[in-house]
Amino acid sequence: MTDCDHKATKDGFAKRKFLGETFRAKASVCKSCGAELWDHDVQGKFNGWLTKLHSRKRGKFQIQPLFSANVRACLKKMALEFPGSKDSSIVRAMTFLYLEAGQDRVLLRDMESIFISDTFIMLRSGKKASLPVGFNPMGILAIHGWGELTGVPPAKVVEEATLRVLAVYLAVDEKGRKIWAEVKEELTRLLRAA
Amino acid sequence: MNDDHLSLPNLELQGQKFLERLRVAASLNLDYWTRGKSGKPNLPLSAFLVALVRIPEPTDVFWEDRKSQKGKNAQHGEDRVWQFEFDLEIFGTKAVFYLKGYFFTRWKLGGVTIQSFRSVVPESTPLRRK
Repeated sequence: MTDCDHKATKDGFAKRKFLGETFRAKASVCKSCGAELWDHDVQGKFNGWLTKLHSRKRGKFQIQPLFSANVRACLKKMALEFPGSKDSSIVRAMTFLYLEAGQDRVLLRDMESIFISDTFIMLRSGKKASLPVGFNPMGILAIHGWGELTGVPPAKVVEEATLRVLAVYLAVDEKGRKIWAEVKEELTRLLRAA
Repeated sequence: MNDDHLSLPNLELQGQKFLERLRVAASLNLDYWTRGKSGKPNLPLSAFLVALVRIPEPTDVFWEDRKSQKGKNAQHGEDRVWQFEFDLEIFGTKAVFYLKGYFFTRWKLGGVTIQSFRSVVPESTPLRRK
């Protein structure tokens, strides 16, 4: 099967199921393969639709990652270092810190190297409970985007990203502390702006 | 100065980074094809936007003449289509993706049309068949 070049288009609709709701807007559609063109106009309509959905059904923008008692204890301890920040705010900040660390591949690699340690086992072990974490439209789109790339559910994206940053927080060796200093600075910046 | 001299492949040879060009173009005006009923389904736009942050500078970009002269941006788009594969390490696992598109407008970077963006399984992209 070859790739379609979308040579000829016709009027049709762009559709997307998202958060259990269906978005639909007029768009150009490929006559040959049925692909939809998401241009600036369609993207704007989708963003507007998402903003309205956020104001009407806030609960749909909540993700419920499962965390062990060890993770929840760590979050409580961390909250003392970031006054006024709730557990859910810290999880949200840590999630994007990890996901966007890709712009700094060295930091990402360092974080992964720490993650594959005993800390990994400790953070994952024990009974798990959900922690509701709310996201704004931009945040939920990004989390779902990562889920689509990795093939894992959004809650798992949040869990995996959070565990990796927590592993750095718990690192006791010199390398780990150095990385944490860098990560903490970024986390502070994110939480200040939250 | 003729078209060929100003074409984006040539600009890249003059030291302009392809990835920088792609990111700038995507932020200016992005046309994204998604969800074909037949053919190979692209990943959703939200997946492309987050991947864009982590795409490494591609080492092998293949350029070929664009076959389509119809459709949006076709008239004022670059005459050549680019395509490449890249890998992303996500949660400690490496995954390979295929990206194909073309820049518009000619002579001035105004945006980019993404024709294909999908996860690669063996033998699944034109590059693998070459």
